[in-house]
Amino acid sequence: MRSSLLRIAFLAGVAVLTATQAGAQQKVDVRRAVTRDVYVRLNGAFSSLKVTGWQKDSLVMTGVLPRESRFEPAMGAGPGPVPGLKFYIEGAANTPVSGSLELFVPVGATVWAKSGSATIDVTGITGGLDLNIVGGSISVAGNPRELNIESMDGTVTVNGAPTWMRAKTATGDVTIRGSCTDLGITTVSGTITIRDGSFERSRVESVTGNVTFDAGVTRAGTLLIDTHAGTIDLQIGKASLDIDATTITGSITNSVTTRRPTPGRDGRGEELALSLGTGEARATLRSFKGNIRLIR
Amino acid sequence: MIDPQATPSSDDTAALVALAARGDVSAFEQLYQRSSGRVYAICIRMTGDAQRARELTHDAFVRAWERLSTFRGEAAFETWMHRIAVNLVLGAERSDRRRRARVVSSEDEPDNERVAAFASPAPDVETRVDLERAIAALPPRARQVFVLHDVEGYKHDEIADRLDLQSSSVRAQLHRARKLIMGMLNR
Amino acid sequence: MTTHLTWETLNDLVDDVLSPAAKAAAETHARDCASCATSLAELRATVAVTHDLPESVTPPEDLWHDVRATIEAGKVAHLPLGSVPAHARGFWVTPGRLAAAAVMLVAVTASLTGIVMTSQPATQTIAQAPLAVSVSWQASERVFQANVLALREQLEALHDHLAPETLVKVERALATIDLAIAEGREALLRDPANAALSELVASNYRQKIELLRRVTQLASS
Repeated sequence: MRSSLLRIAFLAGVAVLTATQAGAQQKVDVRRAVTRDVYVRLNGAFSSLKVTGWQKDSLVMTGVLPRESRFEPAMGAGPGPVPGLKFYIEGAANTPVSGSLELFVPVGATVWAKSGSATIDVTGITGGLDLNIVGGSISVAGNPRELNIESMDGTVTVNGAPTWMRAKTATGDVTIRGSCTDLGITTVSGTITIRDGSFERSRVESVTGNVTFDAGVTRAGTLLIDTHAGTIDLQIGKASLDIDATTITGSITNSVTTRRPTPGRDGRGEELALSLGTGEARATLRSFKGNIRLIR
Repeated sequence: MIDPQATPSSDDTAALVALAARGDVSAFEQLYQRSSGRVYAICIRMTGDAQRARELTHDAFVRAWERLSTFRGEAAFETWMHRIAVNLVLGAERSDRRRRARVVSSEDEPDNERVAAFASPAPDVETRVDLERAIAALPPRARQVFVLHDVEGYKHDEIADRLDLQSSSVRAQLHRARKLIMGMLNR
Repeated sequence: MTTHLTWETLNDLVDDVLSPAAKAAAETHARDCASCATSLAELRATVAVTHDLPESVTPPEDLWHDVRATIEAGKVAHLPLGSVPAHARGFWVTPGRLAAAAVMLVAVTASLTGIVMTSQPATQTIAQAPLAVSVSWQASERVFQANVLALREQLEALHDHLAPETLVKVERALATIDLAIAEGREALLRDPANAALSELVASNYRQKIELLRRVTQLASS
């Protein structure tokens, strides 16, 4: 009976929200009809968030939070699908952050999520994602239109083809398997690994983190990698690429062609320029004291 | 030495561009003085926002400085600057549209800084300023079309190409803008 | 009942994009219909006034100053002069480290200027790289230094808003960046016209400002 009533209320577009408390935890159950491009904002103290895009015009959030946490949803009154919802979770003072949430949203939704140390897993979203953690990990599978990730030491893993992507970490490692039209990755000392797909415009900056690019650059595409001390490994494959590599004090190793690097300015560092295939794409690799390796 | 007070000739401009391209900032300043009014006009009329117009004008001249070596002189320098400015305004508008699409509730949006230099019309102000204010008050797309067509003289097809619209949409936006303008001016 | 000219037709008539037949019909109607004639005249007047708008609008007086500062900085590195958002004036990790950095910046700047001024003839113009570089670097460093010093105050207010372990991570990351900046700048002193080196140092500056921005947002959220 209760489930029937819930279903009727849900279909009528009325928000169904229950947060029942039992023991040391409270359950979260939010169900709402939403627009296909709904904007969902989730901020606060949770340790785990799983987001799944589905083909329904509704949002469902379930999970458990510590009993002491304050859970504040805001979604607007009235019937009918809403275009936006906000959730704020305030943890109790002097209590370790815990709580796991699962969120189902329409595939075209935009999800903004921010927490301290948390594990965020996202699958099947084609809209926008803006994910921000201090520690923990962020994992995204799918092809979001926009993907913005900020992390301090949390790791970042992307499997898919975001159209536009920015990832910034301090020490967190970043791994991308897939493709992207407009890619920007910045890290201080995390390692950056880009594999398997095809990238049109890419800019990668690292201070001491090592960078591995083992993917394709589209025709007329550009790849720019700057490091201070991190190594740069460029796996060429069958790429048709104009490459400009420069180090200030590091070395350049070329195992792709017989061309050897020349000494840099003032006899320090090395420089190497070569053209592979018809050179339709361009790669600029620069490192202050990291070594650059061109690998077939 | 080129006299900045004299009416600029194309030879003067070419000389200034050549000097500026070699890094002469003073020469570039003279080019700025000659063309900044035009650039700022297009930026402020197309954005309706003085702060944004300032930023875009700044960016237009920085971009021009970076690309001086590509200026071939087939068009007048002012025309070249005009093209840079229009490209920047339209590019910025596309980026802004994408950023705005992420935000739902008004309290999440950044403070609205779109305080146009030509704000609400005052009854004792000349028609020209009233018109500037009315343009600034237009909806964004209508404003872009109106400024490009009625102020800057672009044709429907050119506007359609720049804004990635159908020609019929350009006409519709233009007609709508004119109706709104006339309504505001006749209050 | 008279059918008046539609708004679309009136506009197309003013813009002269009607076919000859449609144009003739519209003009004939406007001659005979006072209401449409009035609408047409008003529309033409509005378009005419618009065409008469001045080509130029005077920009803010200090705009050239900003443009100049940016292009002067751009001669060496693409530093975000004048474009660091207010909220990115975040913080340094400890006041002591901040003060040390400020001293380092001033020292490096001074030494850079000293090297250039003693080695270059006074008659060189800005168009020649070394003197332009030193002027640009001084301008850039001053802006950077001012931003960092300004952040110190905000840091002290926000210091308690971050978990100690987060502060430690941030401190380590900033130290890494600062070492990179110092090494890069030292190399740039010896080779100020090295474009690749300039870009690398600029990249480190961007990293620092970006990290400070993010930590500031984190602390204030």
